[in-house]
Amino acid sequence: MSQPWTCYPSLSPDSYARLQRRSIFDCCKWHTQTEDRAVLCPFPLVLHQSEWERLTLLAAELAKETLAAESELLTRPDLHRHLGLPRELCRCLQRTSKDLPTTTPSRVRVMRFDFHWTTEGWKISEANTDVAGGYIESSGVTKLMALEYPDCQPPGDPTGVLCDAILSTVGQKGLIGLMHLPIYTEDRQVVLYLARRLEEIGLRTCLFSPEQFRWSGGQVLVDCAWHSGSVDLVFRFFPAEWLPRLARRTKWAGFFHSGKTVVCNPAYGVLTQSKRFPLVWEALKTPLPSWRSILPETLSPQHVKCAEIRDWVLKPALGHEGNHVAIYGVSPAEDWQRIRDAVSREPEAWAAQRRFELLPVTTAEGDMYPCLGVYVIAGKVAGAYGRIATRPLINDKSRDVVVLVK
Amino acid sequence: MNREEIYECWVPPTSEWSLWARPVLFAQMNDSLEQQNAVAEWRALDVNWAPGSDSKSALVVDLPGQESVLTGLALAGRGFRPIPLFNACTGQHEVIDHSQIIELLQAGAGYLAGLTLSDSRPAFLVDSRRTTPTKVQPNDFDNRWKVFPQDFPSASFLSSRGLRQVLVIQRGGIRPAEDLAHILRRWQDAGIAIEAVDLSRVPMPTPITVERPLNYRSTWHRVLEMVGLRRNPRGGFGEVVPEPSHG
Repeated sequence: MSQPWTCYPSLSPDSYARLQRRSIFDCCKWHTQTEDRAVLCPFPLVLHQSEWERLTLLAAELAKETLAAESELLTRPDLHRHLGLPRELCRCLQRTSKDLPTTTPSRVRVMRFDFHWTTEGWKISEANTDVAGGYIESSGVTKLMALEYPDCQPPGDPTGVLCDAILSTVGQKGLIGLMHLPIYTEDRQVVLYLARRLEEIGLRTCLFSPEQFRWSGGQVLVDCAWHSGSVDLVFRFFPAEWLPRLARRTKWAGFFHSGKTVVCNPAYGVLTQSKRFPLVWEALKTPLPSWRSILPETLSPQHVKCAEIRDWVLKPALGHEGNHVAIYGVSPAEDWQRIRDAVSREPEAWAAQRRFELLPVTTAEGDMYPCLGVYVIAGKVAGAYGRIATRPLINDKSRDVVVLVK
Repeated sequence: MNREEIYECWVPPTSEWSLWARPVLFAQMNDSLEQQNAVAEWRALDVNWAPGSDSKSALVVDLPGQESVLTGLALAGRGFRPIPLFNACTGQHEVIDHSQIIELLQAGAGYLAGLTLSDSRPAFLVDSRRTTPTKVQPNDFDNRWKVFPQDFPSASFLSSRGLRQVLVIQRGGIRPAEDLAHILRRWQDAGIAIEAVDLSRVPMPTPITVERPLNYRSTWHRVLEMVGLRRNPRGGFGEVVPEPSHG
């Protein structure tokens, strides 16, 4: 099967060092090394233009279907228990379904669909519809890499599209709250980069931690040493399923209802973030032709025959960065066993997804397996974030690879 | 010098140990800040406990911020390559004050640029204040941090460079901090000898055996530990949330 992309030659050591330097100082890319490996690959993957156009159409359709399914799911609290969501979130969502007239759809929705090239063509392993990362790499670093390969272009600028969407929502001089965990330098660097880009277009920003706010009267009020008062929009870089762990005084459930403060993303995005989302498709009226064609068959693990379990990928219903994903023969044996045991104890918190066969791309460092995250922001395909690994499993050990288009 | 020039003095691209240097504090330096003509305080620092030039030792300097940088600069005078591993953000109302570290990084840059340092012996600099205090004010910027195995070279990398020993420099005891113990234990398991020196006593390097820490080699260790730093309303470290924060 022909490849949709090519690995271009690596940058020279000097050029790579220069790119790293600019990434650090211009784009807040501060996570540069993990153990003995540089995080950023010194080479880009270059997608053929026609393939990028195909992915653009697919991602746009997936996003439309996702929003339609989400709207229907909000009216179907009876289905929420099948999604593996924490009880507190189900209770919030039940209240959301009763308050639908006041639930303002967010005009700034971010989704990222993770595509893989397989023996069956393009497949997605998941959609990030709650919190997506990769802004620095898909915007700033991609632009820097594109300068080194003048015959290629960046597929887009997700951060730029996000900032424009925020600006058109709140207007000039709006105050944007960036909620994140400051003890994670990797998260801090992302919101600092976003803050920089927002300020470049005239918006004001306020970084705050999840303990420095409360909802009151439909508004988010931030209370920290550098700001006390409302914000016009909250960019939530904090997963929905962690919200119940916050102090009660924050009234975090407000993230499920929007209100006067616009939220990006509203927390009910967790409905489609769940890897068990396909388990409720048959109960929905919303047709999901793109999802059905491109996501592998997904079951609740107790419905997979024991003898066939190795043909399935085990995933937590709500997981991030490939953590706790188990693939037989790919994951270390002890991880496979540990996760299988966890699945046996609580199958309703997991999903089983039929395996697909990834096709590697030949790089200067040998055969590697890429994953292409395509952003759809405010309904518009905005760009792409590439990750790559030496094994067919994308997790926190994967590296960043810039994706360009030619 | 501007912040990029300062960074280049500390993290020259020609040194392979530069790969592990954390750029965080350099990237947050204020270029408009007037650099003080610092007295080279590090020149007077006694580092006679440091291994000789023929040793096969890497160093981990786990001292309070300012002292860590000063010691790193003093060790540079003895041929070690100081590698700043300060993986902390800085800003107003921060829980851990990084201003003195930043001043010294600025002040020491010119000194480092004038030295010819061999790449054979790295001295990794961390800040022993990184997880203190245990209680923070709710309105403050919580910039505490921890070290993890991913922040350091592997044992096989150290061995491939002929480094068969690691000396940990601390104050107040020779038992390493819990987060550092994860790294040292991995190195120890791979056959690297670990020694420690306590600068609050007669600084004599002493061989130590690093006990197996909690959650040793757990895939979840990093995430569990980082989110365990979150303050809870009762003070101290917060509850564990076992996942990275984004997809």
